[in-house]
Amino acid sequence: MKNKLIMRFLISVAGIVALAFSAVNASAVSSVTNKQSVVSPFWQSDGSVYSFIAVSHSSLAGMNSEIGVTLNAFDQSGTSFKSTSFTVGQNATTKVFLVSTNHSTINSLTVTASGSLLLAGTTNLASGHVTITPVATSPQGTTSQLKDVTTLTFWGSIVIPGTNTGFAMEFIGDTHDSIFAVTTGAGITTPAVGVN
Amino acid sequence: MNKTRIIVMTILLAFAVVFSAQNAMAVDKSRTALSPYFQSDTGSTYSFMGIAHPSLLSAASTVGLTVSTVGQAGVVGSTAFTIAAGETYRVFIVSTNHSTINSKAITGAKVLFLSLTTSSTSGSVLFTASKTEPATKSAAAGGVSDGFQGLNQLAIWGAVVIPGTSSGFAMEFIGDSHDSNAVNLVFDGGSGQISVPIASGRGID
Repeated sequence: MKNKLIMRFLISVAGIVALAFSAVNASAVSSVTNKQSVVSPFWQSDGSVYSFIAVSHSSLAGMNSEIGVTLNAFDQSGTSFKSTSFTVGQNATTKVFLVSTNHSTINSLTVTASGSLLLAGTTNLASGHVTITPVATSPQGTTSQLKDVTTLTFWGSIVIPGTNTGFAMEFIGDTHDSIFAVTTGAGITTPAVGVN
Repeated sequence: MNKTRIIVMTILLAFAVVFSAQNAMAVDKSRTALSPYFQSDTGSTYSFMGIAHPSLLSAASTVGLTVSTVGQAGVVGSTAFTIAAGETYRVFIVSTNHSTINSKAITGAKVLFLSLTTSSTSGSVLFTASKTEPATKSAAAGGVSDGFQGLNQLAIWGAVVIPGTSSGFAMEFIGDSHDSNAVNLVFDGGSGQISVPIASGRGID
């Protein structure tokens, strides 16, 4: 009888632990694949300050003529502030604005050009990091035309409109700091890799 | 004879103490990221750092670290915290009683202050991973996923800010995910090729 009670207690504890672990996994932020991703450590927006990101397809040899990009801006807690998916064509540049809703100068009435995207969120202070991942499921596959976001170039700034000043953003894993590896013996140059 | 032995042993002990002290001061490169320069002036210039865990596939779901400001007189302030996947911490290095950058004006669970003296201070910033062997992948335990817990799994950005003009200067970070590739060059004598496998990274190379 005593053994049964102990067994039931242990089973109950195991069940609670299993539930706790499943809850942890359910709430976990999905991981990004290192070699296929680009990250920016910090962005910010509030009623005036906004963040601007330019994504360019420099048409380097080996790049596909169109590359699908998913850009996700997270807040400090890891919750998505806003995300968007878009395609960057050969020699084209897409402009992305992370901005508060109804910003006085950066809004849907003033930013109308094709290739410009507004990601408008809270008017309160918001900040966090940005991940850029490929739309293609095999961006660095065996084909010669890569749909790889790490072959794109990124530039950005946290802009303070009131003083026409700002701070350069950082992008990790794009063409700037990518590494080309050479496979031993085969003579194949593998594509750029993203975040190490 | 005994006196000589005592003197020799005393000298050896003194050397041992001196060398152990020097080793204690040495920074373990595998656990370290650093920023060469920060600045904080009375009531004006301050330094801001954003530290993000971008949830890389290679990373454990939490990474513990200590951030220390190192001035001309050594470590002058530090704070330790754990950053979880997807989170971003904001760290302000600022003079005490700053009029706009203080714990009353800027609040939040992921906001940290390294408040220094009221006088001007400058120096470098040292980031130390809590994990003593960051190149060894941690196993999943206690709700933390498996993965590496080195600082090369984090992304750090910052600026020395001049509030009076809303301008500033970008800070530099060495040893975070940006520039921490650990590359093993392997020369194959037969084919003449060099293989460059990208390893997990390990702080400052």
